[in-house]
Amino acid sequence: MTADAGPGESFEAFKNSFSYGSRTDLTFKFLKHLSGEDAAQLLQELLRRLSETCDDGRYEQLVDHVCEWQRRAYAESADSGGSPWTYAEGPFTPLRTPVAASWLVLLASSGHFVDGDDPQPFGVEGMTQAEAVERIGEFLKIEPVLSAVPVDTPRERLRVRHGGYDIRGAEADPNVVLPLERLRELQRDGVVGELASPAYSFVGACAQTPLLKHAGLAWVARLREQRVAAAVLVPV
Amino acid sequence: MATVVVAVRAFENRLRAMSLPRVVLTPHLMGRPLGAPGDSARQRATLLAALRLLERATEPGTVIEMPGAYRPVRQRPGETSGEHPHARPGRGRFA
Repeated sequence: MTADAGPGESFEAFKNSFSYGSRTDLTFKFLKHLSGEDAAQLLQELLRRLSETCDDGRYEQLVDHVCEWQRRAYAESADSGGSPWTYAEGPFTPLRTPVAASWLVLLASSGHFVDGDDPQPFGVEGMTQAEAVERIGEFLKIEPVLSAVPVDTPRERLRVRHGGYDIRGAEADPNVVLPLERLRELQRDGVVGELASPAYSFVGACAQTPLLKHAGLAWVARLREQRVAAAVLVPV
Repeated sequence: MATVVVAVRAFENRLRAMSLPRVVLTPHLMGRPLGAPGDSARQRATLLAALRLLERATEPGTVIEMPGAYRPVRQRPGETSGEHPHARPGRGRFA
């Protein structure tokens, strides 16, 4: 965290303060990726649309504006820095049986776990979301821990904590990123053959190389033991 | 093992660079790749698109985009998305 708000604060410091600064708001942390000119354009247009919404109630124009600028900011960030995870070719495994006859597993990087099975990062009992945000730099240096979530877990027993994204949507409805209820419905409707239990979640804001070279390999072995035909992967 | 990734469109460039087998991009807000809280129809439609892609993709790097838009579900005062006890404004996870 930085003490960025104060007398004489520059616009640059203001827009950056939404990303792990004095005004942290993970929905708007992308402001840091924007140039000052683009951030100003975003805010000006947001206020213009807000004025219109006050009159016509069309909140959709606000939602669309935020979604579009999130997309633009991360696209520019990826373009400018280049990704170390760039591959000319990728693997491909065909699904050999229809989904309706297949075993599926769900794995999300959403930071969910079941009540009573807190992975307790850094040995901290009952870490809050605010603490996770505060310690994001430490999370980015450690190998992630996989939390097993039985597929019949009721939503009131699910917990979520992740210092890398705004979890308010996931708190309101875990299906926005860990769609267990939707998958159970699809299985009941015969669209999905079988749901492998448990499903899995981990904190995606973690050390990427250890994930790729160590934890990920162990997870794949675990999924193979579950004899799943396919995995639905949900990054956040 | 066949895989399909469901992710928000904000990550499009990074995901395309990885040459993943199958990707469904959604025009949603970050942290809500399946759809808005309480929007079970949109969440289901997104999953159905992913499951169709599992069956139909024939080569790596197959990326599709979900049409439509992210739309919050309007709730009446005092109502939460589904029955989740942590959906009430101002209530923390461990509160």
